[in-house]
Amino acid sequence: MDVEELYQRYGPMVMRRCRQLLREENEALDATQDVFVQILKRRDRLEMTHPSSLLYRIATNLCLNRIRDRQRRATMPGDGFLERVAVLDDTEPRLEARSVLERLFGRHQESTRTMAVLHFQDGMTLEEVAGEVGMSVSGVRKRLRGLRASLGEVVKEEEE
Amino acid sequence: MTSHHDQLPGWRLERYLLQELPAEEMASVQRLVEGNPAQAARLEALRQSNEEVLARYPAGWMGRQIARRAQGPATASDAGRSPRSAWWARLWLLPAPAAVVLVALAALPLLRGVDEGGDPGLPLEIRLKGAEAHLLLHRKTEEGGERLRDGALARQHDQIQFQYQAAGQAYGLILSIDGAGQVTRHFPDQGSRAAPLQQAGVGSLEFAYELDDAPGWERFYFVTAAVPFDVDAVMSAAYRLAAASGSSADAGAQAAGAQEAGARPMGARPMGARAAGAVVAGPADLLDVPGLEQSLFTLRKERSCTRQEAP
Repeated sequence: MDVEELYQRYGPMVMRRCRQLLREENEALDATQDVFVQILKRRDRLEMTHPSSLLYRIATNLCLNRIRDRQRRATMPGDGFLERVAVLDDTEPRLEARSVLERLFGRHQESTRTMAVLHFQDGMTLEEVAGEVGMSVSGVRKRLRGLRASLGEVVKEEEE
Repeated sequence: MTSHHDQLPGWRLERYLLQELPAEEMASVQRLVEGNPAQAARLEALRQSNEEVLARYPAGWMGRQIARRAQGPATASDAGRSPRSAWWARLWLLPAPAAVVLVALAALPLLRGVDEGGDPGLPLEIRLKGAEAHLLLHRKTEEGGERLRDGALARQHDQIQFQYQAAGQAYGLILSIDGAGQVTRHFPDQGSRAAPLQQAGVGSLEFAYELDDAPGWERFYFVTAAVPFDVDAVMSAAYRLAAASGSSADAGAQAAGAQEAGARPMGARPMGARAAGAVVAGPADLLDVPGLEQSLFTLRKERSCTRQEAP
C-alpha cells in the first residue's frame, strides 16, 4: 500500500471530515494523520473495496474520541450534538476495550457513537448506515434507540 | 440535520467525486448536479478544497509524517486519547519534534490579533518591542542541567527544558520544526490563542522535551506579540513551510552535520531575517508579520542521528 497515493486520493476528504468535526485546523491535521496511520498499520487486514467509506468512518470515530477527550478536560462541557454523542458510553460495554479498527473491520460491532453521527448528523438513512457498518437495519435501529433517550433534545433539534 | 443538503448530503457528494458510489447512484447524483447550480457549486467547492488541502499538506510530506508515526511506539488514538490531552505522554512517546524553522510568509494574511473580548477579525495592533524576547534552553545532565547555546550540538534522547524571557512581550507561542519536517507545538499546548507570558524574570515551562532521532537539526521558535494572536495561523504556516522544505530537510541535515560546533549568541531576530545562517540548509525564512516578533534557537543534531524515511 502506497500511503502517499492513498492520501493523494482520499486525504482531502479525510481532512474535510476532521475539520468539520473538530473545528480546529491543527487537531484536524493530527487526526487525519492518525487515520492513515491506522490504515497503514493494519494494511494486511484491510479489504479496501470502498476506501472512502472506510476512511470516513475511521475519521469519524477518531474525531469523536478527540471530542470526548476535550469534553473530559473541559471545565464547561459543550452541549452540542457531537459533544453529547462523544461522551456517551457505547451500548456494548465490551466494545470499550476493543480497538477502533477491530470494530471497523468486521470482527466487532461498529461504534454506536459513529452510527449516531452518520445518521443524525450526516443524514444517512438507517438503511445507509446499516450498509456502511455491515449491520442489519433493525440492528442499527436498536443500537440507536438507546441513544435517543440520552441525546434527548439535541437529537430532536438535529432532526428538525 | 442536513437541511438543504438533504437532497445530496456531503458524504454522498464526496463519494461521487471519488467515483465510489454504485452506478445507479452515480447517475442519480450526476443528474442532480447537472440540473442544479447550487449542487454544482458544492461539487466545485470540493474540487477546490482538494487542491487547497494537497497544496497545504502535500502527499510527500504527509506520507513521511504518517510513516513516521506508524513506526512510533503508539499513536494517540491507539492509547485512546488525543495528543492534546496526552501532552506529557506525547512528549515522550511520539517521534519527537525537532526543528527547521519557518513560519511563513504564506501565513501572514491569516494572522489577526484577537482582543481579549474576542473579535478575531481585527488587525493585529503592532507594537514591536525590538529583538528581545528569547528562549533559554537547558539540557538535563547527571549533575542537574546545563544551559545550551544557540547552535549547540545535541543528540537523540537529550532532555531539554525551556525557559523564556518575555522582554515586554505579552503573549507567546513556542513551536519547533525538525530536520524530518515534523512540526511540534510546545506552548501553549492547546487553545487557539497565544499564551500570556510571565513578565517578571524568566518564565519556565513545566515540562521537558526529549529529542528524537530526527536528523540534522531542531529549531525552536518563540513567536511573541504585545496582544493575543491566532496560534492556528502560525502553526498552519509552519506546517506549510515544513512541507515545502521536505525535500531540503536531508540537505539541511547534511549541512548541519558538516558544520563546526560554533555557537552563536542567542537573541531574537528581526522578522524576515534568515534563521541560523548556514547551519540549516533549505528554506528558513521567518515570520514577517507586523506585530509578531520571533526568535530562533537551533540545536544541531549529531550526524549519527539519522531517520528512516518513509517507504
